[in-house]
Amino acid sequence: MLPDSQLKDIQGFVASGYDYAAKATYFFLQFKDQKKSKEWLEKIIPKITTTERWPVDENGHLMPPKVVLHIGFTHAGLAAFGLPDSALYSAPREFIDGMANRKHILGDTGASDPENWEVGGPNNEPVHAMMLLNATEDTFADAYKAHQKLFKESKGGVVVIREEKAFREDSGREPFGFSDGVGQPIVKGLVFTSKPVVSGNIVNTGEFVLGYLNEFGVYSPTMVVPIETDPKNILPGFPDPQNPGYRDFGRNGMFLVYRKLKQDVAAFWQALEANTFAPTEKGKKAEVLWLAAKLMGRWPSGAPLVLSPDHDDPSLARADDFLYERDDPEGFRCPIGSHVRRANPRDSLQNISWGDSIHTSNTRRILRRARLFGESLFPQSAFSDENDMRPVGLKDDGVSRGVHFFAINAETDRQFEFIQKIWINNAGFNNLYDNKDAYVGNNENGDGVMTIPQVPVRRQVSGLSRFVDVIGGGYFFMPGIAAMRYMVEC
Amino acid sequence: MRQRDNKPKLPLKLIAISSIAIGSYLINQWVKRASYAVPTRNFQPRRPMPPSSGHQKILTLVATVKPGQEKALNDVLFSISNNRENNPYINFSKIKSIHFGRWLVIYDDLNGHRLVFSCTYNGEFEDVIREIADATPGLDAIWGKCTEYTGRDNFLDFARGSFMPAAYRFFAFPNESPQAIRDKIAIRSRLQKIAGNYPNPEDVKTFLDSLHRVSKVPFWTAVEKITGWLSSLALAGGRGVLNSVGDVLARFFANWGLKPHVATPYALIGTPEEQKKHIQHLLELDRNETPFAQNQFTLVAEIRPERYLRLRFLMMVGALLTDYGYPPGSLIGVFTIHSLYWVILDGGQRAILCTNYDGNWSSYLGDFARLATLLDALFNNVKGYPPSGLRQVNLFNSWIRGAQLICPLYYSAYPNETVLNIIRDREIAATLGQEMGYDSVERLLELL
Ligand code: HEM
Repeated sequence: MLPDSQLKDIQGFVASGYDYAAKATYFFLQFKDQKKSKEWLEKIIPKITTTERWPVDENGHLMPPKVVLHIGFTHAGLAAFGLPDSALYSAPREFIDGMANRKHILGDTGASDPENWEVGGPNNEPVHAMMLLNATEDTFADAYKAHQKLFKESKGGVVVIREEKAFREDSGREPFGFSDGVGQPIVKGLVFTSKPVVSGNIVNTGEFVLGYLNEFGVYSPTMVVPIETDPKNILPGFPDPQNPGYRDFGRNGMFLVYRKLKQDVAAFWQALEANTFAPTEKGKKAEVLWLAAKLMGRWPSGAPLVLSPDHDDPSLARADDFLYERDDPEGFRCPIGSHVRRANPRDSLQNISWGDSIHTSNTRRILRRARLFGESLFPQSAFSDENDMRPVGLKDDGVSRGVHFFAINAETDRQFEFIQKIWINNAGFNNLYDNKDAYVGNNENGDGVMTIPQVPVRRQVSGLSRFVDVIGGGYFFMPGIAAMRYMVEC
Repeated sequence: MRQRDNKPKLPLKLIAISSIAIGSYLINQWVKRASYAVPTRNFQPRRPMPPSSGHQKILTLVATVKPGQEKALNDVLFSISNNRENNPYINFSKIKSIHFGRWLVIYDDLNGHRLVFSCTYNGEFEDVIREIADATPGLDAIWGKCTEYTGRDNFLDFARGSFMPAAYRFFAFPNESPQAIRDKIAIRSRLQKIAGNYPNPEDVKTFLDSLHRVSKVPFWTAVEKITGWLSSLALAGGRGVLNSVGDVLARFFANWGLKPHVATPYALIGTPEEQKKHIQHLLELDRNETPFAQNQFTLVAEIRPERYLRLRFLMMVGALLTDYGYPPGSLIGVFTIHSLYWVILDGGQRAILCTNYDGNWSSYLGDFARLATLLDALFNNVKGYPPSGLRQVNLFNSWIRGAQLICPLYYSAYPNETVLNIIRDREIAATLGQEMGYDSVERLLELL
């Protein structure tokens, strides 16, 4: 566990998804005036939620904050605060370049081209920062009003160019109908776990937060500022003899990836239905669900296919401590190309040895956070066994729905971009020939396939199109509290 | 003392073990050949296995760019890359014997800019040069911008004159020609289609039953299995010994002259101008990353003069290891590199490193970390290499990316095929050459 002094400096998003604070608004901001923006940020800093431990009430229950606030800045946003050039250009290139310019790496083609985005694209207003306000049902309205007031008080210094409303289903399901947010790395410095973990799920703090050792045993590159720009000694220095003359602007900060992902729920389930063989209605319903689970690698409840290959088992809904190669090398339980097995292959990467695979996978982990937009196409009880409801015969209703997808990592090119390019959108992933991710891959032409290994011969699901479109996004830096105080002073 | 004397001496043991190994290998080869002769009743491969046509080779041509022409040359190369199908300069469909090729310009204000063309191929030097000339209507537009080039008719002479040999090379599959690899892809695709005719697994049983009506020769199968097992054990043992020797050597040379462990800097600092330039370079490299499964990496390094011999020695040892130490597709246990080679330029002042690999830079770096000792041992001998080598991943990364060249034009004969895919396709094709038993049919279907 990190010392309290550090926990108070790190934005809380890395430690929790704050699921209980289910209501959210994301403000996309522009800083029009440096001085007024600094005044505004000074008022915001004390409101930012950190990883500080939650207090406990007299009954021993944790008391999490009811209003949760986080903020991330784009490269242009940091520049608007007047950071010196030497700081701005010590940042990683993909952060400087911005998400829209990385479309060839991220596979944002066709309808997902940044040209068509709602926010963060070349045809949208430039984004300087994204402020994430989450709150419980009873506190949200007041918190929202208070922030609107602060914007107003900045007298045009800070302008809201877009707001995104976001919510969370009580069931924790995403619009396709699956439990989301189950498989997560355990951040070494932020949680205390006494249970042994076989899957190597405990990952060094430095994979997510700058200033700590990462999985290579070194520090991920940070951003620095010349010492003379920090006369008040706000920022921490470096241990001797590292980087003399500079202070560490990046310490306790992290990179935040935001993607607004629109899901074509009806098209997805229709495509699966077209791949069924069962002659009866009842059989078809079961088969559709089985196919979807094979493509995902988890059942709708969250139960992993490696542990429960034949049927959903809600008692395993939160299970995350399992391996692939050891228990299911051929993918007969959980297909090699399924979403979870490619987004985190654990021990199953075939181009290196077994032990190295976990290590390599762990240098590509991201912490995922998500909220939804757009009303669900079908009731969240759709998959419950009692009413026998299954997503067959669905029709699109024209509503734009999906997830606000967030990923936290320390090196975006090595982590998020890598997953997206080399694992999700790569048809040759892990010795497959022609399978992209069936859920989120850029199967642009509707001819995507997905292989389900089985005996005697593998089954191939075909006619998959791009079911998830990117309609907005950005790369943000979430500074530590001290770094933000430096931004106010610099 | 007595007991000891009774034991066979070590050399005797070695001789015994190696003769068993060699014996097993020979018997295994013979049985394998013999078993092909056993006629299979229901299944005949439609044609013999694609012949492999000798060892892969490397062709590197380095020519001086006429002063002031470098920009125009670069533009031509980029324009070809942007229009691979219908450009007036190169007709890629006519290229048959090249696996991977790259065209790029080395900028060097002191010694003159140079055009480098480098490829891996099968066949004879003259043939591949002729093939390139035939496939390149734009020969004059490309090489015509170099001083040594005197026209299409003299291209062979030009090629002989500007040829630079490779000092070290690794091929994942040294004996596969591009055609052999493509053939195996075609075989697999055909089989996948056949399997696709039975989308419902229930129907597949019919297909399976139609395939499986084959006699087995239990005795020979058993002999093949046992000898195969013994000879692969021997092979693994031999490789093990070679690898350990190589490892000890690499370790020794990696640490000789390398600074002891120091912490990796938290940040890489230069003046904002330097930083901007570096970032611009990185972004350009990113934009040149190929959209398909494979990628190239080209680097030019200045060799430290006092280390030249050491570098050559290591390359020699490396070559020995590559030839005998690794199973197909593997470079020290890493299965993502199709080929990797060094070419020494300017009488030992400079070296070019070329690789063809699967994935992108970020995945490659992960492999690099695994190859750390080897790379330290080699790169140690070039100027600018971080004093702590790969132990300082960030510094290493920044150095190697800085030294990486922008490659405007890259060609691959099978762009979507990873090293792992090739291994698998070879296995599928090999299964076809064998007797069709239930085991092999099942294995075959599993691989599709
Ligand atoms: C609308 C788009 C997406 C949907 C509906 C979706 C859905 C899911 C679901 C249901 C799971 C399994 C439950 C869980 O472990 O949380 C999952 C896991 C995961 N997804 Fe996604 N996902 C989407 C996009 C993405 C993207 C774009 C990435 C990364 C680039 C990603 C990375 C992951 C990772 C890393 C896991 C956890 C794997 C593990 O640790 O076992 N997902 N996703």
